[in-house]
Amino acid sequence: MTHIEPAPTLDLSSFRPAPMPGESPGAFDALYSQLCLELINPSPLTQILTAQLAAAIIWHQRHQKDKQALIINNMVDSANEYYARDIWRRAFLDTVEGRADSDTKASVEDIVASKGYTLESLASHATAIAGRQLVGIENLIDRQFKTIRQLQKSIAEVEAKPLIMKRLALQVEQLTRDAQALTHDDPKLEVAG
Amino acid sequence: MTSERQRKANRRNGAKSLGPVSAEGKYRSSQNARKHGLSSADVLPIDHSLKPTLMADARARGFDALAAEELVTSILQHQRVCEAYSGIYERDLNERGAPNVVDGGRVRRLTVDDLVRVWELSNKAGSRISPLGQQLLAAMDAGYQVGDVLTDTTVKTLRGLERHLQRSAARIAKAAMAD
Repeated sequence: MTHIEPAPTLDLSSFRPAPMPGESPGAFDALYSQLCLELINPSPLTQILTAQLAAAIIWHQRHQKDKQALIINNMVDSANEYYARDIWRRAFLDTVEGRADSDTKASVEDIVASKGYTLESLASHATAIAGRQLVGIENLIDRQFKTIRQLQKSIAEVEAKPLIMKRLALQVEQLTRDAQALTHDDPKLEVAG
Repeated sequence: MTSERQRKANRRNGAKSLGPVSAEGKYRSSQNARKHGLSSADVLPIDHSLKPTLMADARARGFDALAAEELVTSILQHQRVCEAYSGIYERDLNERGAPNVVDGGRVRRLTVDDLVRVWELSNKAGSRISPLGQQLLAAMDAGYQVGDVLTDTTVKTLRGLERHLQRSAARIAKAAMAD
């Protein structure tokens, strides 16, 4: 076993998912740097696995947003606001996420109430309509989560490998010493190697 | 029964459409049924440039030659699937009702490449943003967001790809745990 390669400056361009509208362009790099801080001994192998882990986390977050967008779209459609749908979608999204100003929130609540819903009941209705498509996106989220778990496990294993090898070497050394001590006590016993 | 005249007409009509003739046309039609390109090495080849560095690192960490090869190949394979995944998602995003912009006098749809370009521009302090850039920024402000609804076809293709992703991630984990 030789020494582990020092951490190089990894070219992340092929690992970085293209930033999507509404996302911070530096989100991947920030997440990657944060994850790299947790590495005990950064090297090309662990850095690449970490970049893949960061990408999987970004995809997981994106699909969560896809799921929410699907529900919001169905909420807007159920409220029959086809007119200026994009504007209403933003207003609904901001209201559901609690960052809408009071005027926007009041407008959304008025429309929802006029259809005989509350925001919560409309959201449940929209979730029920989304049905099959929602199951598809939830599958994507679930599988990305499993990929994240596998990559985390891999990083831990790769990180621990030198320690495992060192422990094995020490155990072999200890066993050899014990065997030699035995032969020393009893000259009739011979130890190979 | 088909008359001689009809037979001749059928032959004449049949000869008119024999599919693409040029190499470019043949290549284009060969891509018609392509979903994510993972099965064709010419479309998404594995990038082997990192392999020597990764192999050296794996060996230095104590993996034997066989386990190191398996680990590194799985990592590169996983990367290939990730790139295909990203490509499918971007293609979908470019197709799902993106706002129009006027570019060089022509009206066209906003694409992910445009958005990346605008972000790069807006990140450069003191840079002048072109009229197209301003339109793109306005389109982004108008609510073109991540999470606009994915099409059913894209969800299906992504699910297929995620099976590959999960498999390659499991292969990496298995190789990393090898004694």
